[in-house]
Amino acid sequence: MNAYLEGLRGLQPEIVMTITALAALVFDLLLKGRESRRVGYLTLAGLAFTAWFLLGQWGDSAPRTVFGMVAIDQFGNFFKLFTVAALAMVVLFVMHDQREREHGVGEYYFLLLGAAIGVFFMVSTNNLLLMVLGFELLSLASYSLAGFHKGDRKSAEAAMKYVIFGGLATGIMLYGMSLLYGLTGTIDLAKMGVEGGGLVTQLAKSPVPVGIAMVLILAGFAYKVSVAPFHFWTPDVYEGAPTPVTTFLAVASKAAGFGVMLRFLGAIFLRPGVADSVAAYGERIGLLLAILAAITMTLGNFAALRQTSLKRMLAYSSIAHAGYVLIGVACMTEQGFGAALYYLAAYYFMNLGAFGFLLYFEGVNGNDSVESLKGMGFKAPLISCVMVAFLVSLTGLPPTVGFYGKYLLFVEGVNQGLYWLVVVAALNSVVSLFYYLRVAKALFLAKPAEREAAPAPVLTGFVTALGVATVALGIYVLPLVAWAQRSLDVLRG
Amino acid sequence: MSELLFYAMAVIALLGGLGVIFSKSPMGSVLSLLGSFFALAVIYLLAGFHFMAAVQILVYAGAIMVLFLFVIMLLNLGGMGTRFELSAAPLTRARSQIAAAVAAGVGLAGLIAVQRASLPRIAQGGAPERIDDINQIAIALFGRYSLPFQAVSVLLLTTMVAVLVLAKRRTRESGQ
Repeated sequence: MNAYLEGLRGLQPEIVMTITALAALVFDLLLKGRESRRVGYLTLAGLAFTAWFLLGQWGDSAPRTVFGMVAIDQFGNFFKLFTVAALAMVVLFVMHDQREREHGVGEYYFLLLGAAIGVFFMVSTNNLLLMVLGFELLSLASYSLAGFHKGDRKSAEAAMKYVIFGGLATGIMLYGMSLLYGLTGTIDLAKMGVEGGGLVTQLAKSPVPVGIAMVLILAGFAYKVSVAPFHFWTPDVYEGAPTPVTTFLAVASKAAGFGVMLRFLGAIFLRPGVADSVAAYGERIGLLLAILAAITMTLGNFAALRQTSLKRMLAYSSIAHAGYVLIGVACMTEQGFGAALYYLAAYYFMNLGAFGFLLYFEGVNGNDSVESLKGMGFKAPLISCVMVAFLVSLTGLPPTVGFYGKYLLFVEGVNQGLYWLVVVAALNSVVSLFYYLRVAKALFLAKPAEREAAPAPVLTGFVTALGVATVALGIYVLPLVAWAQRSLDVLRG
Repeated sequence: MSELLFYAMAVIALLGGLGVIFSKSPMGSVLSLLGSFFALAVIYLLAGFHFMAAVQILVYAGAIMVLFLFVIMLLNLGGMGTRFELSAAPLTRARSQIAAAVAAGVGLAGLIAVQRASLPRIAQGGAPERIDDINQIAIALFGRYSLPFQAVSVLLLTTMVAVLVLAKRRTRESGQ
């Protein structure tokens, strides 16, 4: 088979996604805006096909590069599978939310799929050009999604803030990337750090230019994963955006940001054959990330303590979790990256579930304050019990997937001598216990509420499945650990 | 001679940039930006990038600026006396100063990076080989970079839909 067809075979998931997106757009036109739910089913079918092709690549042995820039490897596969799963969840949220159905025109699905295609490209390339394109595709679709409720002032404000912050951060990142290209003479990350690569020459003369380029690029990534000091947009955008979109931003978009960060750093600093001077420089970048991690988690957790809205609280909690994941990145070792991957997987489960709960109670209560949850645990016992499992997992207590994730991160942090960071993270986990348990307390340790909670069997079913996974994977940890380790082939190839 | 021209154009580009910010009317901002773009195009020409210069004029000055002008006229911002109502916007003086400081800091960092880097010197009189040959650009675009080229089409389509979603009037709401 010739190289072109071989390349197309590697891109099957992306192609299916693109076709699904176009089909969703055309289908919505044909339906003339009626029954937009059917577009949702079409989207789900497309996602199922994509997942099928992704699973086909799951068994693929050797990582390879097609079209000279798309890396087909287990690392990308890991993020793509989780993105598809998260997106399917978000689509289900959209389809089962009354308020979304009112606004729910078919473009919703098209934009979600567009954002996911962006994620696909950005996590599976070592090429700066394609990375930026994927990044932008995700960002541009997200801006519009955040402002989807046009009549809603908060939603409009969220979109506006997101655009301005996003535009600035992307601009800074692009500037850094152009500097990096100028310094190394290549846009292929894999060629930069190896012996004889551009980074070696530059570091031999002065570390400053590379440092400036790296800091600018990492600023762009930090914005995407809302790491301090680039987190300011997060609470407002998460609060203002429609809840399914918030879920997408908090889960898929953030994990994709970490995916691109891990690939960027891994491809430059951690691959085999990387020059000694470059590897040593990578450790200094790691130290910078460690400091950011400490600031981020502390800030996120303490701000979350004061929130009265569950949605805002989850927003700050997601900032704190970005700090935890950053511990693994800051280690700058294969084990550290593996722990970060594992934690991201855990993050998918517990946050998707928590947002599903939020969506359900927004529908029941009409608002998202923790106050309004009082005593509702007795009215909707199943989903509330499952929420407690998510909260336990978010805090990082056994027997949940969140606990094992934190355990892995802390162990690798200690192994790399980042004792202070692990201590800060552990103290932070204690702080987070307060605000997570406040939700559980409101649910169950109050007088049973007078109001009734309308049942939502489908939503409850999916959230419960996530809850079961959160606990089961926390007890039976090995499969997920093995998968995370296997996905690090990007560092070996 | 060419050096003199470079400095003249650099000054014009900078003045144009300042004009964008300080102009009282939106129309003035657009025209300043236009001047800045033309000066940049001349600088590209001096550096030997003929294709870039042509594209700069065609795309930026030709298409994008005309679009800006249309938008301003359609939204009726164009009256010469119209001023931006910045005071009402969340863009307070302190915030815009912070933004300016960030932008200046990033720009300065870039200058320092370039100044301290080990970069090969390009011989006077432009690039050694013609890197902006249209043939070569086309071959690269449809050969090596065909995938990003197609990814851009997805990006543009998504952006178009995204903008339409935000901009169109809500007609369907009641029907649902």
